[in-house]
Amino acid sequence: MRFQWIFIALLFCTSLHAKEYIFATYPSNNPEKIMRAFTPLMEYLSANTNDTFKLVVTKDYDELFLRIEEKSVDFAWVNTKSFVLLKEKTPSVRYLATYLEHSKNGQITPYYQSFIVTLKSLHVNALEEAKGRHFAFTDKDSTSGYAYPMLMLEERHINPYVFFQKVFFLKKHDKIVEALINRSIDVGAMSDGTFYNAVAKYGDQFTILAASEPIPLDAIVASQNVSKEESERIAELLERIPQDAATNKAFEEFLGWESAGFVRKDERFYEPFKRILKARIYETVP
Amino acid sequence: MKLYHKILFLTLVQLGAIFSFGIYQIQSLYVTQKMAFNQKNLIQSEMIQKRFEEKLEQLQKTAQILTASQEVVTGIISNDTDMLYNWSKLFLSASTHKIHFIDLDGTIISRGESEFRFGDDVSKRFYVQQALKNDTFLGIDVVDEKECLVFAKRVKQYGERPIGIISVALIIDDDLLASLVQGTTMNIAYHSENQTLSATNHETLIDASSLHVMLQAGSVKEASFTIGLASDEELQALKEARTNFFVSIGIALILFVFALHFTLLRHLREYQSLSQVLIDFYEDRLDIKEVGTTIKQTMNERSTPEVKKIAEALFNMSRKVAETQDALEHLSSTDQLTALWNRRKLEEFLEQKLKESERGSFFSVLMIDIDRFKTINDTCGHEVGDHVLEITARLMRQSIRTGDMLGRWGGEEFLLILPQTDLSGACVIAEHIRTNVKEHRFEDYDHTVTVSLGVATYRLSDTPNTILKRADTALYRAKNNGRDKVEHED
Repeated sequence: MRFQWIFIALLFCTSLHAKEYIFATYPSNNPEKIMRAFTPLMEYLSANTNDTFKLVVTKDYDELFLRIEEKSVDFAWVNTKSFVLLKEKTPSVRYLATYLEHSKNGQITPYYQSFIVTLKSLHVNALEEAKGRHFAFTDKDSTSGYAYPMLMLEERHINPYVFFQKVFFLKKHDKIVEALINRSIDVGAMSDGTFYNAVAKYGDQFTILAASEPIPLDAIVASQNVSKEESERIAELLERIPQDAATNKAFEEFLGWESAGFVRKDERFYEPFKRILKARIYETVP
Repeated sequence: MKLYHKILFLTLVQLGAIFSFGIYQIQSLYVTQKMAFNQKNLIQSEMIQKRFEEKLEQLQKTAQILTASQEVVTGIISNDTDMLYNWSKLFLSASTHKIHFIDLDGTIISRGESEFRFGDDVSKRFYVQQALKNDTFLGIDVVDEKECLVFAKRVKQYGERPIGIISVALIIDDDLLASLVQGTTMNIAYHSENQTLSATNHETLIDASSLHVMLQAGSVKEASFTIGLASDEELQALKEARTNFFVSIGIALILFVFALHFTLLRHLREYQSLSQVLIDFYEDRLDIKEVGTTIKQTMNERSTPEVKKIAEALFNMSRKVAETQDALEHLSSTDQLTALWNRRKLEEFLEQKLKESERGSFFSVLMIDIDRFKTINDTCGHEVGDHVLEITARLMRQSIRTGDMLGRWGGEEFLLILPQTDLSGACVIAEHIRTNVKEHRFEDYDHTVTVSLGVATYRLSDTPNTILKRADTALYRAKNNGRDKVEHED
């Protein structure tokens, strides 16, 4: 009888400490797809913490940044550029883990690449030959869809706003592929994952005009709301996700990401990206 | 004017008046209905006009909202295809099929209706040039190879610096036309140099008129909207009903005239036949008995009750007249005392027998005289004399045959005409009379009464006088031979 009361008291204490965490991510794809892809991860975290994790897909990066600053979200999935900018702007943001992917060479890495792609049928074999064409980035806040492609162009002394006839912003990586297929654009920037999915879907009709150096994959961060201990606990939980977990399958199924879980790196892992931010970026037509 | 014509004329005048009134009423009803029909069509036309204007207003309103959005302005400046797409797809509807964001070079930055199609050059398009030149364009032009109602508006940053164009378009297709005329009996057709569309399957429009729309001239030549009745069945039905009524009235009038004509003829013919009987009567083609017989036939025929009544009255009247005539005839032909034929009648019989004898018949006559009748009168008085005359006449009548004609010739003298009787036969009958009279015993006269008889028979070319003369001569001889005798000629 005494043990029963102790058990009930422990349960009561536990329920008193149960929290509801807001986990935010940026709209890298269709919000519905994102919701379905992230649901197993939220369930995994909720199940292993006895807390509740609710997913929020923000309208854009600005909203995500704002909500982290405002502390209206507890955890966030941010891309590399966002993490670096966010860390500069809000040092209190705590790094938890880095997303892992199966690379095309069969290894599991926390890196990915950005490609500048065209259609083979256009017979453009180098970026320099794409002058006067229509070009598309994804989003100015995108690492692989804007920052690294802009760096690749810079290295070739190409101001896209001058070099290309038109420069469009399509926000989503998938949309770059569809716009290419529809001949709305001639050249587009996208992540390597998007590129390989496009090849799988449409066949070998694309040409990679430029490929970036390895880019650290997205980071999971915690806002100031979350204690260091709690952050550690969540980071450990993320790292413990097995490769065949439902979370990884959901990412692959709904977003086409060949997810392999998470790895705990150091914040310095993202240092090289700061060089990108300091590089000359043509924000508008000079 | 004859009764027939009078009745026909008056009836026709009345019928004409009634039918004219009916026709007037129907025509008035038709005119009223036609006016209501036209009014309905006018209202429907105005409704379609209004719907069309609402479509144009919707295009303009959509463009106004989008141009007023700072995000859209930013999106156009930064060629943010995705953001512009997300904005425009919110405004796509049945009234807005296409929303295009175009930069100042005429390149489409984003299409609301097609997420992945953009980047194409539309700078040569008429509506783009017009919007760049005049700030706005509202008209018909080809957008993505489809003829559309287009509203294009130049977008300005801060209301000053032009940065691009927003074009909002509605495809001119069967669905658009059908939506304009939905719930009406009208049809709308769109015609241009490239195509002809119609809201319904009816190719021709009735009472067609152009839709009054304030559209700028576009690149599509001869583009126009025409509205009209989809079908004039309703009006035709009205006209048909009117025509049917008129035809029915006409047929009814003709049939009525014919019916009246034949009814009048039938009735008047019966009256005419009755009057003809009377005419025949007074023009001596019929005697009163024949009149009765003819009228009786008329009564027995299928006559109308009125004619039957008149015929019955005429028949009864003719019968009475015949009876009166018979009575008068009888009175004028008989002797009042003896009830025998009188002399005038006897003369008629004699004339008739002479005529019949010319065709091979023959007869004999007896002249009979009561012997010494003057003495009876003088001695016994006239009453006894009359009694003798009366009884003698009865005795003689009892002695003759049915076809024999016996009459009082005058005073105590009698004449008996015996048809188909020769001299010997006549003598036998004369003897029989003589005997019967002689043997009879009178009540008021105690003496025997005798008669003398002279017999004559018909001879060729006899006249009444010649044959009577011969009978009279024979009678004279019987008197001279002692009376109570029968003597014959020769």
